[in-house]
Amino acid sequence: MSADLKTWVIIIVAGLGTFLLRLSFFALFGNHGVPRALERPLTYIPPAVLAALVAPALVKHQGAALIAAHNPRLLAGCVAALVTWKTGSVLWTLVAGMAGFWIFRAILT
Amino acid sequence: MRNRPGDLREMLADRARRDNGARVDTQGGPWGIVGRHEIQEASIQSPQQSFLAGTRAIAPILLGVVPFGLLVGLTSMAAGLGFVQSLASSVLIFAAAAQLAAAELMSRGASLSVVVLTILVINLRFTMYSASLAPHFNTLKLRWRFLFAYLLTDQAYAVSIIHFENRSQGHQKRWFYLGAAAVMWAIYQGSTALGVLVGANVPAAWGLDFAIPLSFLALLGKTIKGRSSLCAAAAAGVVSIVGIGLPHNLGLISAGLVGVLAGVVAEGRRRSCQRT
Repeated sequence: MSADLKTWVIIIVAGLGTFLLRLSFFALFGNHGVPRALERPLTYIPPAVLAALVAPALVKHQGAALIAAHNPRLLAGCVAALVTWKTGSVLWTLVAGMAGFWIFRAILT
Repeated sequence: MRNRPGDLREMLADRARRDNGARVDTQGGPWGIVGRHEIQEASIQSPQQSFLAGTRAIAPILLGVVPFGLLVGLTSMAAGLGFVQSLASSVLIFAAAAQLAAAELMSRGASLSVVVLTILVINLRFTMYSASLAPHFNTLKLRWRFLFAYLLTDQAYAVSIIHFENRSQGHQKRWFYLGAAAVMWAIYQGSTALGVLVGANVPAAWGLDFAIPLSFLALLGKTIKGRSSLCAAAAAGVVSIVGIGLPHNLGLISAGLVGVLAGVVAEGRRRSCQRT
């Protein structure tokens, strides 16, 4: 198989597979609705998934996990968390978090 | 427990009302509604207003998406994909993390099945988003759900689920989601194209990739409503950090599942405390 064809097969097969993953429960739960037993557990997906997306990013420092006072991302994350708590605004969290990140990074490195 | 035919009609009517943002309190059996009682809700917003609300909700997050799109375009080209293939991968796969991993693997000459499997494992998290959003879309026709599935991303998921669960103020869910997800799609494709065609890039040193987790942090705040959701988030956060070494987002999926479990357990504990 030529490299070009191989690339196309990858793109198409992976694209289709990814689409099916996304479609999964839209189709499965489509006609009968969500089974009642799953209703409460499903409501915990948002906080769990978002926390799982955020936490590693705050702790990473040059490739490894660093939970310490000299990790600029962690410090910026704390500032951002405070701003989120007080304002509930995505935009202000971004502004404060990025500003904090740049400042802490400049101070600490 | 069988529902009477009248119940079926009521059930369908309630689904239509719910899809348009009305609140309908129900008591249900295992699969459906037995009794219902509608709560007066704010007037239903028009499709355009709902669409714009979705776009406004996702707008701040798109700032962080652009650098990622540029990076995807660039790394795809660097991996030897060519213009058309790079653009096609963003259209057909439409998942930045997976595309970046795939580009890396392809530049190292990995086999076809390894690349495809890697992409799919990284994208497994979409099944969680699908399960989470499905209750809100199950009144929609299949072709809408196909479209919405195609457009599903972390960002579109996050802003939509928060909006839907915090009561939509009369916004129509389908238009809200479309406003968020379609604009996200357009921005992502545009950024990839810029990365591919112009070789545009944002220097990694600027650290703009931090903007995406920051956006999610802001959204995380809105999902924590009480002790159980806090437990879910905390447990998931810990597991995701422990699982940092795991490849291909496996740490993320494990963390998601553990978080859900923690939330359910915390809720069960709270209920049993209240009973005694």
